[in-house]
Order: sequence, then C-alpha cells, then structure tokens
Amino acid sequence: MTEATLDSIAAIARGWEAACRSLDSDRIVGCLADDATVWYNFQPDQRHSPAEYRSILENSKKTFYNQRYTKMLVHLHPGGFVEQATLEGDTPNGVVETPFLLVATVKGDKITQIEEYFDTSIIQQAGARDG
Amino acid sequence: MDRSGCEIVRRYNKPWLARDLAAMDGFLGEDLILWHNHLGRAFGKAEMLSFVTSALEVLEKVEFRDAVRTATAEGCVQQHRLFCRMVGGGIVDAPQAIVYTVRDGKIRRIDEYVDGPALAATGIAG
Repeated sequence: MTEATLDSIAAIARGWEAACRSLDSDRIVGCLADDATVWYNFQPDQRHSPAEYRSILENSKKTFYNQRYTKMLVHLHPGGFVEQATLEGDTPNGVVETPFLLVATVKGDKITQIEEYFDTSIIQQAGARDG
Repeated sequence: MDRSGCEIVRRYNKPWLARDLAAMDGFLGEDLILWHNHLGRAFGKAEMLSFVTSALEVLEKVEFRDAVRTATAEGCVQQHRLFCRMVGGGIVDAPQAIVYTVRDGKIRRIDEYVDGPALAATGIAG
C-alpha cells in the first residue's frame, strides 16, 4: 500500500465527512459507488442500495431533525476508513445524542460498502425512528 | 499498515474468551478506558475487570464469531457476531464492533458498539 493510496483514502474520507456535515443526502449518496451497499447492525440480514440509503436519510430527518455531528473521529486504513461519530438532533421528546460507528470500504474514488453500528434504543426512547 | 495492534487484540481475545482475567490484565494498560455506546459511560481498568467478573457469572459461553480485524494507525477495529449463551438459557447473537487503541504494546482504550436491545437476554446493566 503506497502513501499515495492512503492519501487518496484520506481525501475520500474528508469528502465523506464534509458531505455528512452538510446533511445533503444527494451529496452523501454521491460519495457511494453505484453498486454500493449499506448495512445496519440492527437489520443484519438487509443491505441497502444507494437509493434506499438516500430514502433512509431523508426519512430520519422527519423525526430526528436539526441534525449535527458533535464528534467525528476518522481512522484510515488501506481498504477504507472507520469513523467514530456522535450525531445529535432534536426529536419530539427532546434532544437526542446517538454515538455510532461507521466502517467504510473504499475502491477507486468511491465508497463501495458502509457498515453502521447504532444503539436503536437511544432513538426509540426519544420517540424518533431508527436511522 | 502495521498490524501489531491487531495481533495484540487477537492474543487478548484468547484469555477473554477463556475467562482468564489475570491473563487479560496483562494486555491492558493501567490507564485503560472501556466505553460502551449503549451505556453512554466509560469504565476504568479496575471497573472493567469487576464488570467482566460479574458478567462471566451469568455468561455460560461467549464467542466472537466471524471476526474480522482491520489495522489502523491507532490500533485495531474488530467486527464480529457476539454470541452468548446465558446460564439461564438465553441467547445473544448480535453484530458488534470494537475499536481498540493500542500504544506501547498495551491496549489503552476499548470502544464497543452494539445495539443495546440485542443484549436484553444478558440482563447485564452496566
């Protein structure tokens, strides 16, 4: 693995972070390869397409709104990156802060796989939907 | 990328799964922090070992199934299916990811991510 490759992964990770912080679902999905898959720990038998992921992101804003990242720590490795993040948002029952882990696989200049680990009870207790 | 962090984690898993707390202790820095996403709090080393001691009393079997370890500059990330069989017969079978920070040959921080409701069968709180 060359330094140039790690540099390119770092650039993709920075683009991903910027897209996530923008909360622009099209920009976020634009970081994914067309055949990318998105997997959640709480639905381990399902894998979502980029279009389905976009829908999940948009739906989450309906009950978990004014989203903002209060933490985003990225670990690079030759196959992609790992992100430890905390997403805060408003819900019908108040402010909710949900820490999660995202494991991204990168090939070329796109993310080909995302695996996310959440604790669904945090959002469910606040009256918002998963995701 | 240096895989030594993952090698330490691989070796650390053995006493964990074998319930050998003394051997586990040898892999952990004195400044260790253990953090669980579903508990929202961190434990120091002594608290962690006490917590593990209590947990092992109700866990008949623990396995990290299909473990995949990824080396990072800070240490290692392990993804696996956490399988537990409780003394009372309950089963946990849930995806889990653990971020290990390794420095100077010791594990310094363990961040565990799992879906809290998937652990209901353990009856373990904190």
